[in-house]
Amino acid sequence: MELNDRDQSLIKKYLFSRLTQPEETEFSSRMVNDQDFRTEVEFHRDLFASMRDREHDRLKKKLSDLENKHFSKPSKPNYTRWLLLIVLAMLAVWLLWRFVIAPPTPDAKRVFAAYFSPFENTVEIATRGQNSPASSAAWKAYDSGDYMRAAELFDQLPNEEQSEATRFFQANALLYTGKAREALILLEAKTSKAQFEEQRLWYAALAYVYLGDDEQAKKRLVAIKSNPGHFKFQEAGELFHQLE
Amino acid sequence: MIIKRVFGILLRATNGNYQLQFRLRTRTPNTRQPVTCMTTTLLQKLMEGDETALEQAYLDYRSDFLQWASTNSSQSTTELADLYQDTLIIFYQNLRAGKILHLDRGIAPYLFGIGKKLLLRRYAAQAKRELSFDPADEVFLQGITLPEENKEVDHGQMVLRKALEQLNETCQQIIEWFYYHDYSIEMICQRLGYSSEEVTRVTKMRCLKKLRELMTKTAH
Repeated sequence: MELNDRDQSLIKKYLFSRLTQPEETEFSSRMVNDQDFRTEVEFHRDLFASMRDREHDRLKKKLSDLENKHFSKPSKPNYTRWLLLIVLAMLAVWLLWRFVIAPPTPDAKRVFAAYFSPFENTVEIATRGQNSPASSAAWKAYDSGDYMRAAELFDQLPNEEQSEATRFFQANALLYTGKAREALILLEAKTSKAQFEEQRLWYAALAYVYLGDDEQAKKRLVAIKSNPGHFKFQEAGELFHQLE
Repeated sequence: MIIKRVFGILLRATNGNYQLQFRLRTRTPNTRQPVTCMTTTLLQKLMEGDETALEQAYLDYRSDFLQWASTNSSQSTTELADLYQDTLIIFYQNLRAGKILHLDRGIAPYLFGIGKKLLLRRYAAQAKRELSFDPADEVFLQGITLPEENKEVDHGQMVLRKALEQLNETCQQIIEWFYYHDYSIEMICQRLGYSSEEVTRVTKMRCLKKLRELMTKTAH
């Protein structure tokens, strides 16, 4: 229904409580007797209410923002989140070091492989017949090239059967199987005897090459280079230059 | 507009055991800058729909309102601030609708009167004290419309609201100005910069027609 101007005015006056007494009477009468007029009044009433609610919501948000801006307490810093971030950062650095920086690079492995070969067993040959079955088994594994088994068997030897020799060859077996750190522990352990001292220096240098620690490797190579009688004097020089 | 004096008034809520007195800003002759002028100016701006003035009013009366409300209820500051926002908006909307009749009383009595009604409605069970209305104080609140709390929106209104949201911005503005703020066609014409009132009238009719079409579409 298209409202004429008069009806439009009457409805607006009703909504804004501006009806005069005669207009109120007319309005009430038409609400009872005129269905179309009543429908229009309800439509306009709903429209007015919707507009009011929209305005209320909009103003509520405005005042709420004002309240938060001027009167809300600053939230306490979230220390838990920062702590977690620090822990994660430290973990990331450790992982980076462990798997990216520290591990042997393919180049380091290639260099290592070019210079490494397990030291030939001359010990067991010399002492054959004097060794225990466990010790013989370890030597046998080493001689047959089963270095992983040899490393295990040498490690399992009782203390009284272990010697500088078993420890040196165990380190060789470990180096062969890529366990350079464990080999270094054996190669650089302080000993009272000078047995295999030259060899230990060389293999320790190779272990550091494998691990990518060129600085430590070069220190040992310099020591070998200062001894022209060293069995790896020439190789040490070559390797030193390669690392540079 | 004739500047009238604002007298300090007492707002009492009594139950025979206590009296809560709130003293509004008062004016004494020839002393400081009259508060009346500021209140009148603020009221004038609010009546004209100046929302910056609404924000100013919010900040001006917040402290006193919250202090009063916290004395009479055990709600949190957040809840009371929410109540205050609703109170101020209801006052503002009624002011603009011409239902605030005793403007000489200033803003505060209305805020506290409306606030008390809302407080009773929402938090009567948790009120620290039994609140009651002095019938004399209620006289000036007659005619003020308070929205129903938690009123459910019926389907028809829901359809209307969705249709309103789909109108273009100009139509929404025209409809709001004409049907909600009771602007004349002349005022709308001036605000929108239309060439004539006839153009404005026709645009308004088209917007309303579009709204009805959208309502029919949304309803189905």
